[in-house]
Amino acid sequence: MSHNFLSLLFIVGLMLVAVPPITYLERKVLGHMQQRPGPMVVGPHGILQPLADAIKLIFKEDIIPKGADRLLFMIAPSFSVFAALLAASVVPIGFINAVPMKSALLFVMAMSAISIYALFLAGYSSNDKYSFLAGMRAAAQVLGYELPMGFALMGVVILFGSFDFREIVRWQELHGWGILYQPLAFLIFLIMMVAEVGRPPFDLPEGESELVGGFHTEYSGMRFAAFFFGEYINIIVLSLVVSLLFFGGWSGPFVDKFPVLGVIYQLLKAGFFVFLTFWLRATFPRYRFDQMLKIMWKVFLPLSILNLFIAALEAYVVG
Amino acid sequence: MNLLKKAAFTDLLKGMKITLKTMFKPTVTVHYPFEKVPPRKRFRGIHALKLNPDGSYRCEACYLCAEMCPSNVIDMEMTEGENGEKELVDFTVDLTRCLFCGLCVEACPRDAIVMTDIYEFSQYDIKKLVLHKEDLLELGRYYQKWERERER
Repeated sequence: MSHNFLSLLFIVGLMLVAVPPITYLERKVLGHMQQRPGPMVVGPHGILQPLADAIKLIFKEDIIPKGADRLLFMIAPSFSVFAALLAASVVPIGFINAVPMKSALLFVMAMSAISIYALFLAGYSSNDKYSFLAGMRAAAQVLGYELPMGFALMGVVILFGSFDFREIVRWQELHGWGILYQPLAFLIFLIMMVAEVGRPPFDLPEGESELVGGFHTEYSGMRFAAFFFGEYINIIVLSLVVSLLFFGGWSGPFVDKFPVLGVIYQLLKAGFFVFLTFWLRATFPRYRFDQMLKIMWKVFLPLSILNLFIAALEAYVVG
Repeated sequence: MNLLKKAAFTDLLKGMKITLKTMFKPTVTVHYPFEKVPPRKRFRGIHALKLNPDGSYRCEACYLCAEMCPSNVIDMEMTEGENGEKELVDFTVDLTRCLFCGLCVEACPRDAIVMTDIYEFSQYDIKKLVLHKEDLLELGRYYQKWERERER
């Protein structure tokens, strides 16, 4: 029990502590991909920039616009953070497993679906047409990506025969990495993951260039920061999930003797996918709304259903 | 074939390759407040008044620059001197209106009003943006030093 509590503390702490460095890294990576150095002034190579941002955000005035639905407006950002942290709590990192749960994957999916409520409620309660449009987009985006994502995961689950991450990794230790069996599911999951956390090229609810920041137009101070905490924690969690489902999680050489190595392996694998989200952001423009829905419904949904059949076939042959 | 290319994301991967390559290129940023690009030779910054080598004013208050100015930036005050010549009392340049076209410099028959390479002159007080004779002469000394260095 106490062991679980400690690891819960560790995971929640890790998620909260990891966000500022990740925002820093994102700005650095984005900058260098555009041949500029990114933050440079605060501290050596701007390494204290997240701290400066945090101080700025804490001391900013907390504005609630006139005519806003006060209660919803105030609690909407917490949906984002708490759903993301709840999802993080069931994801094991190496031997650290805060809440061992038989249906952990399902729980992660449910929680990351709830985190979209934050965007929707924020857009609905802001009393601002841009925020409202962003909320509508968020809602439509959920309908777009949830189905292909669910079907892609269903294929994986059929193959592994479990929702439990430990079981999934054990299966991969026996049979090899999941990506070898399910490359299509991996691709679909990756793209849907980007859509889920609302990053470019699927950052429609945010839409800086056309919606003035979308759902967080009216937010300031720590409520605004809470959205970003939620978003980045979601990125970390889903990257960890990708590493668990398709890249063997903490499996790797010498893990039996030194379990700490497993943590490092998994964080490295997940780190690559965090980097990938930055990379995509630096490379691609935003999809138009109808284009996004077209891709989701007409391309990825049929593909993910097709993948389900492939997975069933593989499960029959392998298992 | 086209569909196959689309399915393999070839165009998207090409774009990602370019961004990855760019990431390892050296940056082109000039870290502005810490390092500055020196302005070009003919750069038109804020105004200055030059002095003659013997220390007297070059400006003879002929008003040509003020006449020439499209936005009424320059104004001056003068009196009659001891020997009946014009003598400059005050010379004001209102930088809040100036568009740095350089017509005043073109107009000046004595090469008295010139433009320096200074482009950082933000002030908290708008009154400080109206330059008077003393400021302009100060800038003129800076300009003449800079001019000598430039010619070397």
